Amino acid sequence: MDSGRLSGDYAGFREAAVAIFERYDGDDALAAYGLADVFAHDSDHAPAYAFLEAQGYAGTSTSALSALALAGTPAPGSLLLAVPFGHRGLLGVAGLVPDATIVVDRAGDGLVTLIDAEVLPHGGDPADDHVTVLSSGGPGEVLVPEADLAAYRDDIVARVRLGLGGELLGLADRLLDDAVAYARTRRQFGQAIGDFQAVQHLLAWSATEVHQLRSLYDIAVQRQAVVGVDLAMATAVKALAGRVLLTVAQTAIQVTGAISFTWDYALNRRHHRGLALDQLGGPSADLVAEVGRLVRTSGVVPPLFELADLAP
Amino acid sequence: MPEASAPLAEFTSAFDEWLAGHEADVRPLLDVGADFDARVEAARGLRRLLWDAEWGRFGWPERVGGVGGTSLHRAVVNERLFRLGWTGPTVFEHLEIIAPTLVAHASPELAAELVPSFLDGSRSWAQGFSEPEAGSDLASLRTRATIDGAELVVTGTKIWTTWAKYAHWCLALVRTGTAEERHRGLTMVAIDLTSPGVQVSPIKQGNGIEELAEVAFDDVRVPAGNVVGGVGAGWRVAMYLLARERGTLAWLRHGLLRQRLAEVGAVAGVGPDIDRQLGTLVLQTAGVRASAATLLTREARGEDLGPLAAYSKLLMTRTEQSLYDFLRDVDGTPVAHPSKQPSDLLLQQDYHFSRIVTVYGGSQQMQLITVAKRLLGLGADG
Repeated sequence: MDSGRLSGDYAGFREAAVAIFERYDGDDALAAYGLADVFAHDSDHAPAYAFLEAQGYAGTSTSALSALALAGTPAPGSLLLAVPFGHRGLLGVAGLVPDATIVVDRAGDGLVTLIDAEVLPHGGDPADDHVTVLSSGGPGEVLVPEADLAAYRDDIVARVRLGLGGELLGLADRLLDDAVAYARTRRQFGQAIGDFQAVQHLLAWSATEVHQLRSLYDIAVQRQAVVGVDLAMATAVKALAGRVLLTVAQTAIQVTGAISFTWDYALNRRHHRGLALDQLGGPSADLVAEVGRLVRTSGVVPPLFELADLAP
Repeated sequence: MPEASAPLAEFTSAFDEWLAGHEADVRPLLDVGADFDARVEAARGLRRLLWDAEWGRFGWPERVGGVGGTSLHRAVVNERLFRLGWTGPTVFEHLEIIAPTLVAHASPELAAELVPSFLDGSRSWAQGFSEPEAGSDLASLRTRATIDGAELVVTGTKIWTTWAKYAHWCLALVRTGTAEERHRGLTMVAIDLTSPGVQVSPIKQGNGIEELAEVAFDDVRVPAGNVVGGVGAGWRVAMYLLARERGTLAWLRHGLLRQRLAEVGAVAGVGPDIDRQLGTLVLQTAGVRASAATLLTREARGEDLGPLAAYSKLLMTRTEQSLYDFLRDVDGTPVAHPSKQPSDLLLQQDYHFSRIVTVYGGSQQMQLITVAKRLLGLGADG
């Protein structure tokens, strides 16, 4: 069957993870998938990216992003990595569990445990805590000294961004699927609203957005198996993913109408999750400007990949 | 010279090496100014050079003069030329649209007869689809072909036929069945434009160039062997061709956009206030590059492109328009009042052309309907 994905293997991993999320939640899903084995056996992390995409599709949180980010580095296992949230100097952790050791990468110090960091209470509804947000805290115990961590730093950031790009892709995909399903069944003027071209065009544009994100993301995932993760590519994916998510969410809201603006409606929960994930690991608004600045000052548009990467 | 079966990375570096050693021959053919006739001549010269040096034979089967390989080989060659400052292939853009269609659907004899002279630059082709009364509703076309023994007799008018003024051949979609049969009554046929009864009337476009034309056929006799894909099977051939025009062609066209984006930093007075807009365009271009590369990979694997090409067409054309909107806003003078500098004139031409990219090859609205109906399953008859 044509999965529409660049790699049939990747499509299989994603499908398996989606099935697991139908039965398990949080880190139970992670155990059922056997994510630890992925890192133990192979430098190709495609199964981990597929898991994160499925997690986005399911709309749940696990600690998979931390495991992916720190895999293969000198960091000991079972740590949760706090990464920048927004641009006010705050940190965010996905999939926080009680008694977890939270670490942060601090330039000059290396990978350190996070101490004196305050969990910032969510001012809105507590059900909205898709990401645990912390104050910057202070450097605690050095787990991996700067000299040993420096060589891994770009890879860690790149994996965080590519992983979040995958999760946002899954989320956008789900928003689109649900909006299309709604447009097929919701009837007005005696017909499904999806029969109207005005609605079709809205959804088709969003499908096009998801398609371009999926295309770039698939190439990035395929490429990491061969040449390792690449920060420029991962940044492009995360920036595009944030923009696409916001666009698709707006379309989904428009197509779904007033019901989408109710607190408990699934679409609304996913929209809130997307806004939080967009702030994690570099907000897309900032990353887009960063991409533009590099091109303006260097006069070089990075190719991000070569055709040979797709057909080795 | 690598084998066609060698890894693509090996082919890429070998071609780069050849380019570096032959810059004196190649560079004068890449940017010859804004005059379109001169650009077409340079494009012919470049095809001939690449053909003789064998790089232009990669990606084509041996039966049409090639050395094997896939469309990925051609894509690599095109991209490397853009990186050297190429202003584009002009009429040989059709090599990525019409030539693959001939290879896939023409009889082996016809393909062997007609394709090599296309690939080596000595002949070029036009594609006769649109008619005065058949635009988006292509299946309503009226140009008629009646079968008379071993010949087809073609009568009717095609319009908006790109590069017909420069073309020796036209791959035309004609009606062999009844009007009621719609797309089932159509046939694709290769017509020699020097045949008696053919009249090509160039149309001066909104950007000042005569790339388009009206092509009238008045009892033009065409050998039946020139039918491509069988009588009555024209729609299938047309869809194959359009998947290339809408899909894989985006790879070739994005090369120029990448070049233009890189030049923005050099424009006087451009500062950080544009970084977000510029970044948006860079990412849009990356999206085009990725979706086109994915289609090329599918094609190279022998998979059907189907309606997925609509995504590439939508992404490519939106990006092209946004880019030229941006360039106009950064410095609108070359667009509104170009100097005699070729770079200004090319920018003005390309700006105006970018206005129409959401019309040709299937309008933006038709592409959106394709996505909605065929990929999302929406619509009463979806």
